[in-house]
Amino acid sequence: MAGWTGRAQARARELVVVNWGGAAVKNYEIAYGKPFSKSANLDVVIDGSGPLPGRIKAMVESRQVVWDVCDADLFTAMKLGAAGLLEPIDYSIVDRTKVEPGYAVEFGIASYIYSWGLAYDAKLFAQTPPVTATDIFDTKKFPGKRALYNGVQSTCELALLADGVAPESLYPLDIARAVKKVKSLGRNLVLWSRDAEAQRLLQQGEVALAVLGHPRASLAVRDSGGRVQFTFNGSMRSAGAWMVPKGNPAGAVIANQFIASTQDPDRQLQLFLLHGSGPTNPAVEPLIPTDRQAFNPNTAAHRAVQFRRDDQWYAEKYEEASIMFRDLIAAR
Amino acid sequence: MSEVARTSRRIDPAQALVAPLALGLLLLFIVPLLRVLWLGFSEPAFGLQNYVTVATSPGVRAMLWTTAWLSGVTTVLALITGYAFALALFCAGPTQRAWMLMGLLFSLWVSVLIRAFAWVVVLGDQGVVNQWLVETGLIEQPIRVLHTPTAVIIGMVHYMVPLAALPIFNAMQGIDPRVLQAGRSLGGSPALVFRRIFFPLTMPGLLSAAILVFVFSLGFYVTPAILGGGRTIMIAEFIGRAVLDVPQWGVAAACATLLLAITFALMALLARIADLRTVFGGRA
Repeated sequence: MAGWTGRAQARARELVVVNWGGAAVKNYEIAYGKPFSKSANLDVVIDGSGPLPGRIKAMVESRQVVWDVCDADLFTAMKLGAAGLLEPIDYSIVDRTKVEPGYAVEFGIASYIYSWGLAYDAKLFAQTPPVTATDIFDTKKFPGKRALYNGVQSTCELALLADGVAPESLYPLDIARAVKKVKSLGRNLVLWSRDAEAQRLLQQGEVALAVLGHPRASLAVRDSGGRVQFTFNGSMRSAGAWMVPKGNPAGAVIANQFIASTQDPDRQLQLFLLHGSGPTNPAVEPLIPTDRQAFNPNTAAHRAVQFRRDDQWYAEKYEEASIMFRDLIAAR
Repeated sequence: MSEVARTSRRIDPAQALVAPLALGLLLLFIVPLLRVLWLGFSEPAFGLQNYVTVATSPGVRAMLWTTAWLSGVTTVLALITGYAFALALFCAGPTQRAWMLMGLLFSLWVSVLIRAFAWVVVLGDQGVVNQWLVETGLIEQPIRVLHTPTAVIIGMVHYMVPLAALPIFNAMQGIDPRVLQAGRSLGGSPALVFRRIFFPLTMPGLLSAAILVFVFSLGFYVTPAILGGGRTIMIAEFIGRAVLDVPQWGVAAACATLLLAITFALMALLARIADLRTVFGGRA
């Protein structure tokens, strides 16, 4: 079945771009799909089924590749690339200077910026809003439940920061220490698996604060009429990345041309306005309207208060750390 | 049905009718299932290491323990509630009984997802119950129930009560009323008749219900995921995450095999206690 669609797609001159679905399908179509369809004279199909590393691996190893470009995490590109499952990014087509240093690697290049930050119920904390990792874990000063991501990312970093680890010595993450801190929240801890869940918990007032990606947080702020607030303070700057599965049906050249097309400032601006995904190309910054700067992770003020996820560490340790995190959370 | 089968020996129509389904099950269910079981011994390398992980990893063991005790508590609570409901059904008049049965079956038909979200609305800190308690001044702070094991148990018991009540009611209906009359006529008080005659006669139904509810409880997926707030992880959710989140297919397959083995063992036990067709209402 998968092989059959793959051949059919190759014949029809299609380019299949995979992201995490939901509103991202429509928004990617508008910002990136349609303009590239027109200029390259082929159909861009946005597939929202989620580029899980395991699925890319299964596809490439069975030579049934049906995806051309995947939009996953930067560390995923590093990991899968090192395992020989990706085409290298062709930097004669894609411009590596259009992303910030460190965000263009051999097998992937940053597609958007997102930041794992703190959202809180402003009605509860009108006088002194929570601003730091320490505040997230201080249930005396900031009483109420908190929703953290049910996984390593952001949850472990913030727990360690609250536990007194210096920002520059966060990595390698001490998962055991982090989980101990997380579990110290006791009954005040809720762990979310999908960011829509975190948004719902915030909006319904079921949690006093939550850590989640800034695009989803911006929806919570908007839909709650301002009762939910968000801060970039102490948030974790992360990069999604484009990557091309080895032997992709449309060919590496077209895939790279598509990636290059998404570096266009107007298209990135469009996606930011529609979806909240932070632009990777610095040339977008002057184009962003003032009233949208509150959720722009790239302003000088916001940059100064974020720390950057260590994708190199995640590329090497993500699986191991995830299993350890899950087991320690479950253990008594 | 058994009459028909006995009279026409050459082509059993029942078997002929079931054949396509059996073939479909074999190809679409049994074969993939065997492949999953095989993963438990072959992923990432051939051997028993996945079973060693299941037996020794503190996280996996804690998860198995959570699954067992939540299912146990759910079974006990569902049996008590189910028995009371079955007894009420048994004592009710025909019209009342029809309405009660309809109510029971109706709750059985509502999707498990919708029921779990309904409990979110009821139990949340800002939920119906807490808001009312706070507004009436009975409590100052909302009671934390949602996102705790208690919430998971409430959701699971709610789902399981019909499954407990029906086999018990079935057993009650099978009791010859003359036995009870005899007990009464021999001077037994209603309480004594219930304790010495009625209750023992419903034991097979109660046991079947217990096993049935326990087996179903072991496999709960949606309810703990929604009501447990990511903290209370049972085996089904664990398997789901081991397949999708952290690729640990071998351990996931080992857990699935374990769940399947426990289920089969309990169903075999159930078959020894009671006629399975009676339990599932095939011969009510």
